[in-house]
Amino acid sequence: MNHIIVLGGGPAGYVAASHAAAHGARVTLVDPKPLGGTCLNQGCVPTKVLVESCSLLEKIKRAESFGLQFSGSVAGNWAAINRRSASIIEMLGQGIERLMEDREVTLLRGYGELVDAHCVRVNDQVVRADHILICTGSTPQADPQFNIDGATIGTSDDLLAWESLPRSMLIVGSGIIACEFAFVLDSLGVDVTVLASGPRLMSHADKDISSVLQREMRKRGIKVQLNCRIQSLTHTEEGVSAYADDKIVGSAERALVAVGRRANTVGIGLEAADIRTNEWREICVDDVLRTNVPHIYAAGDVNGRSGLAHAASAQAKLAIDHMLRREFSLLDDGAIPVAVFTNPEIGWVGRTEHAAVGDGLSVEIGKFDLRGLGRAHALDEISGMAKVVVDKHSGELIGLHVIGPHASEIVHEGALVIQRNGKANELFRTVHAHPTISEGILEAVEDAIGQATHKPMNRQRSANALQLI
Amino acid sequence: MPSSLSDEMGFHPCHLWVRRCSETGEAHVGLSDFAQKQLGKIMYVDLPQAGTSIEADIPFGTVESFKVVSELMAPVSGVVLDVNGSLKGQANLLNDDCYGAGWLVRIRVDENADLSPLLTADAYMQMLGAKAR
Repeated sequence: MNHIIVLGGGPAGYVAASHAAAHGARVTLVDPKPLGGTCLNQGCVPTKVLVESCSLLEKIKRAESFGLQFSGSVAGNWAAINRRSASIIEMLGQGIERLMEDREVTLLRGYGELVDAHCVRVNDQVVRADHILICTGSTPQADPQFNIDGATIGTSDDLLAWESLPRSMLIVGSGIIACEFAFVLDSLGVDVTVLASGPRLMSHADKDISSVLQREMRKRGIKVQLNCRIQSLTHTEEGVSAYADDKIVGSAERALVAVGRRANTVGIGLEAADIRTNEWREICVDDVLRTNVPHIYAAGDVNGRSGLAHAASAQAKLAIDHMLRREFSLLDDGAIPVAVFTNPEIGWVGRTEHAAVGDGLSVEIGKFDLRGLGRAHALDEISGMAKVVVDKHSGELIGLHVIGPHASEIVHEGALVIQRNGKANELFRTVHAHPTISEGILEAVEDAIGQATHKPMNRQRSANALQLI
Repeated sequence: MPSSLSDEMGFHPCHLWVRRCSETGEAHVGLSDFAQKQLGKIMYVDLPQAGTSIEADIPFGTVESFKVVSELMAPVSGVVLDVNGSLKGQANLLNDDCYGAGWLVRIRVDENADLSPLLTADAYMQMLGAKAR
């Protein structure tokens, strides 16, 4: 029987272990920490617990606008929210452990280190395998100029462990983690300033989505400083100050550093197995997640291909399928949806307008403002838009971008079309239930051909867009 | 700030007005009554910070109503001196007094700015009438 060692029990590692065991392999899963990895223990899950508490808090505060009478005060309780988070994490972590037991996966608690290309040392034990899958994940980048001490200046890992929140916070960074925390902290009454190094937030999102996001931040009073590359953070009597161009550009009680994550490749014995890494010390892999050593694979954050948990899981399954010589499909990174739990939420899949045009494609763009939807008004969440990017010549849907309620859920219809190189007309011809936010996607596709039901008709675009329908 | 139309006002076809003070070269910019009626109940206005340069015919902000988000097209080039702080939390001033307390920004009009394309109040009303017809 094929024996596979999986290093790391996060969304790549435990999914790989489960998948491999389900298909007949003998699996040893190695992790010193609770299963679930960063995603479950310090990432996706605890932050979504925070987001839901904040979302409910904000809705209760707007109870009157829903015609509800509410007496008494309501406020976020950081410690209580964290207790809820801990109990959810524990429950889900136990679920993964039971899953491993069910699949008869051998779980070794400890740090695994390759001693050669076939053997891994865990504590005092050396285990030999036919294949090895490295899924050791990543950790927040903590560059020395930020003077991270975990208490006043911290990463997202530190913040989630804080016992209380400050009155004010600087957030260094403008990506998913920075933006999600900006909304959560603002909702819980923290005075937030986002210090973004680039000209816009979420630089990999579509520009229109970034614009709406930034407007929503301003609307709430979250301060955003763009083109502000932080040189250093320094501890002060009052807390922390941020410097850019040798000037103080912001001060607050505490600071969150969210400038990216670094692959966990140190101390796992890559050198002993001659495994190649790139300049960022991420493990180099091919299309089937294989390293330069043919029986050793790497999936998830550790290979730097994507920083998303669901991408890590998909990669892990592909790696296992290839190892076990099962039928497999290569992953199209461009068809992997991205979900961002800001307020409003963001969901996108495929190319941005800017990227498509940059690639020399001729595109048709469709947009729909979600406040045109009855469901958005019923939810009292009218801010947001749906946008589609359509290849003008082929009619293929090449990008779907949504900011608004349920965006992370409704983006999947775009993923389904894009992963099969489908045309926008598949969405156009699909009847969308009413009243839903998904109708916004239909309207955006209709807008791409100048025929959005709830927008003024664009006759010129309509006449030119026959190939799309 | 007078709350009604006046002779010194110029209108951009995208429904913004400029009221210029010839002595100081400064001007207030706002949204026309037609525009605020079309938008319906206005909830939020997103405006540039003081010190930002704005360029004629290029969007410089957005206005959000229950029905729609619209870009605000700069009627003239200049530098923003001041933003109407009263609109923060009281965006309804745009509906209630669009030519007075609901002004958007105060700008220093560029020396070389061409104000000739701006319509007089009468011409603007005629344009709206023609559109309606």
